[in-house]
Amino acid sequence: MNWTWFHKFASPPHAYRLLGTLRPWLFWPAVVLMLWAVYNGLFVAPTDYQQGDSFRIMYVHVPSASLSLMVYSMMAIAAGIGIIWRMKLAHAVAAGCAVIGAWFTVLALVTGAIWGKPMWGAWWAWDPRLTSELILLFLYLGYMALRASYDDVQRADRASGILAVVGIVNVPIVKYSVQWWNSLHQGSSLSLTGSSAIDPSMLPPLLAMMVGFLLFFGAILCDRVRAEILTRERNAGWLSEAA
Amino acid sequence: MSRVTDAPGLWALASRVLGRELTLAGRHWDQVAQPLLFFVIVVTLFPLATSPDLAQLRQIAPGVVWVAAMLSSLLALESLFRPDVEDGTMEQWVLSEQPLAWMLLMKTAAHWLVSGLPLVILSPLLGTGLGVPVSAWPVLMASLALGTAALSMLGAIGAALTVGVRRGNVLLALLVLPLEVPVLIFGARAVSLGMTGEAVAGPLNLLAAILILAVSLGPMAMAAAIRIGVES
Amino acid sequence: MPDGCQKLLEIMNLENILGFDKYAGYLLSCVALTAVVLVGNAWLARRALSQAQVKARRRAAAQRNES
Repeated sequence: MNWTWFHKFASPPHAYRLLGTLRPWLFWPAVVLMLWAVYNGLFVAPTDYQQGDSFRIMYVHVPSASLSLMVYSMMAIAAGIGIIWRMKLAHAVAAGCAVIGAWFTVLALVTGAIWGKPMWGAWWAWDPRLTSELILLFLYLGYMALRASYDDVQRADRASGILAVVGIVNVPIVKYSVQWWNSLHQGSSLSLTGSSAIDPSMLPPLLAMMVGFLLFFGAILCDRVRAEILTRERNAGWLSEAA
Repeated sequence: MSRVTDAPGLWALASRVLGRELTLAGRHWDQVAQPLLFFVIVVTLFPLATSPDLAQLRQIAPGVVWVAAMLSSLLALESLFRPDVEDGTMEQWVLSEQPLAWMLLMKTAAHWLVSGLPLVILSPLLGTGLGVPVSAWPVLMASLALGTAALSMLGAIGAALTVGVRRGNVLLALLVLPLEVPVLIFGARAVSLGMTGEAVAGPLNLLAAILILAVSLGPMAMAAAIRIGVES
Repeated sequence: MPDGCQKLLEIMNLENILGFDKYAGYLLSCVALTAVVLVGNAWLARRALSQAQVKARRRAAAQRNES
């Protein structure tokens, strides 16, 4: 099989240019989708008979929560590729994912807490989902702290990459253990996303919001990865032309 | 430079590493005793901070013992790889043609023998102070034996990752604690089930599963991390 | 207070505009927070990129001077 296209794609100058052209194509559709979803989610979708208007928090909570986990998986996969094939671009992607993913995790935690206040009567409950999300945040913070403590980018890449891969093995174990722990301690609390039949008109805005978040993440990631590529290039004549 | 003519087999290598580590631990027994002392102190603090009422203490006993064990294992980790990296021994290990992952596994096992095992042996004594009935001693010791071994293995990954960093204390805690959460959950749960006389096989099996996973995959991560740590 | 002002205040009242029930505060703070985090992240990423570009340009210039 011919791999030259791949090496060309993964070469820093090419990736740098490609990501630059890709960004607006992700950014503007994301903005349009999210605005449409906000309008339809907040004003058009009918009020939930059980949770009132607070259910609409779902439209920002669910996308950020699902993205927080997805970004972590992506980070770990990229880090694994970077370690195995010693690919700078993959390390750059992993490094770019971390900050954004951590922010999405914070967002999911805070919106979850704000949603919990009217639903549970408390800002925080040791709900399995909230708890494992909190541990995910610690994983992100550990990854970023480890990166920051190395001065050399190459070593930071490899060390934090190992941590990301170990962490992704850990995520399902934490998820299972926390669920198991919770089921022994208390009866099923009112779940945030409510598996009950949700009105069909509530769904399209949610899907639009999720896709919008994903595209928006892609757009931010383009910028972050381009920045990471630049910091990794030591001796590149193309920098003066590209940058 | 002449090469060692007869490369030892895996088991001979293991016994050499174990022997070396245990000898070293015997020479620095005062440092080895510190995490154990820390464990005792933390457990002692809880009755003072909450209440001397045994009925109340009994409720939190599993959590207290397990949190103390976790903190003590964290304290012990700092000296797992760092001295050997600083005096250049680890660099020799990396350069030698022996399997690094296997040597690190044995090193961690030795570390558990001097930091985890005493804690397991001491635990009934401290448990009694917190109102753990004699009938729950076997569960307490079994859960700690499996659990502290898993904590050593998981913690060793973190210790290997931070060995190339100048001051890694808080960083080590941040890296290791999320990994150790399941061990804490299953360990404390096994003890509290054991105290009420319920079946404890479930959480103990899960602890054993975590230990097996950590023993089989952990050393590879450790070896990769140590290579990064010593290359500076 | 003149009648017109009262009317205006009523119109300006967020809850009247949006028509959410007692959960309006929770909902709107979540949405606002999300908007802040999203915009902030986009801005942070842009800033990181422009800083990296400045550094790269400086490095490239230094290299050209050396050679």
